[in-house]
Amino acid sequence: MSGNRVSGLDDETLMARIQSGDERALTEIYQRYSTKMVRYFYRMLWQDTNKAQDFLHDLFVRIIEKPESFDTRQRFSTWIYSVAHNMCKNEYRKVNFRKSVQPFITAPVIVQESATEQIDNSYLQKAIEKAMAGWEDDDRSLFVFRHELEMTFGEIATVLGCPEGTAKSRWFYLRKELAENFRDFKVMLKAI
Amino acid sequence: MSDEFEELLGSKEWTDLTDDERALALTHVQSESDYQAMRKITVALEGHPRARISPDKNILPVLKKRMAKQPAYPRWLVTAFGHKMPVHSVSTSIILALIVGWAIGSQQTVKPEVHERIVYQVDTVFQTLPSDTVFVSKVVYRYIPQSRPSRADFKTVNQENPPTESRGVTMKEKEELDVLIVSGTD
Repeated sequence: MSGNRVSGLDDETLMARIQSGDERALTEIYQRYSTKMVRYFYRMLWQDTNKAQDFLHDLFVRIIEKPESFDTRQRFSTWIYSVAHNMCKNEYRKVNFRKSVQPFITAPVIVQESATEQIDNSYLQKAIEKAMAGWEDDDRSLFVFRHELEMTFGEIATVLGCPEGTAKSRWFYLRKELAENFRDFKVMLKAI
Repeated sequence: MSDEFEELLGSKEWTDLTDDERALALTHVQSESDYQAMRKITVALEGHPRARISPDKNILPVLKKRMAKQPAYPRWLVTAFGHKMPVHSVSTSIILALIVGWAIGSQQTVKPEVHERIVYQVDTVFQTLPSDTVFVSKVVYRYIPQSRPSRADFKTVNQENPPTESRGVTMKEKEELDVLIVSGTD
């Protein structure tokens, strides 16, 4: 079987081949999802690079060792995000995240605006990330799915196990909450 | 939250909104300042840097090695009735089915032979309702319920020694009877 033939297959077929021990299918599905998933873990697990890599490894080990846990009635993409989401939830429970809220480690901010705007945006980004650290697990997942992975609300709703309308309104109220918190952000900076 | 409002938030300042758009916006937020605050966050999130992390290059080779150690099963073995099932479940089910089949087969005994004998028996039939009125064209039977004759009403006749008082029908009586049957009159 050539590599081209594998790359033309859909995710669900690739999963069936992984069950049969097809290494090329594993490589293909890894290439399709590894970047998205490591970024998801990175965002969800306090921007800890090592932890994100470990979780990516564990996720694919689960795919290899328990491929039968994939329900063929579901889409593979939804399923893999659901598994990743549950892994993060378990991790939160393990480290008792709520009691030791750590601020997100700030990623480098690249802006191409004036010096004043640059400072403002940079601080605003950091402040947003700190605020996100205090969000509920599902809300943080919602943000990463929507913002980082650009998933549709339908897909997000399936992964989080809620109606699509709920995911949409939750996304709206998260931003509204942020807006309330940072309404005077620019004014404060100018005063400084 | 409507898609139109979402689009407005990402693209227009409050001052750039038309009257209709402002009316739409005010169905979602309470005031101009709310709209501007929401817009600031929306724009900030859009400009929020994506995570710049790539998968470790060592992960895929490790996974391949792990997969090589993993026993591979033919696809039919992990698929039953159109649903994927764990290999151990499918294998256990097959083995169980074989054991149960063998047990049932070994316990089944030979069916005993059944002999059937058909006995024909002729019984005595009594005619209790003799014909009454006879017509030319048809015979009408009138139903007269009668009690079953008792044993005393019958006499045992010895064919070899018929009783002297019994007598047969004479030719004349027979002719009269024939006339009676044909005419239906007395």
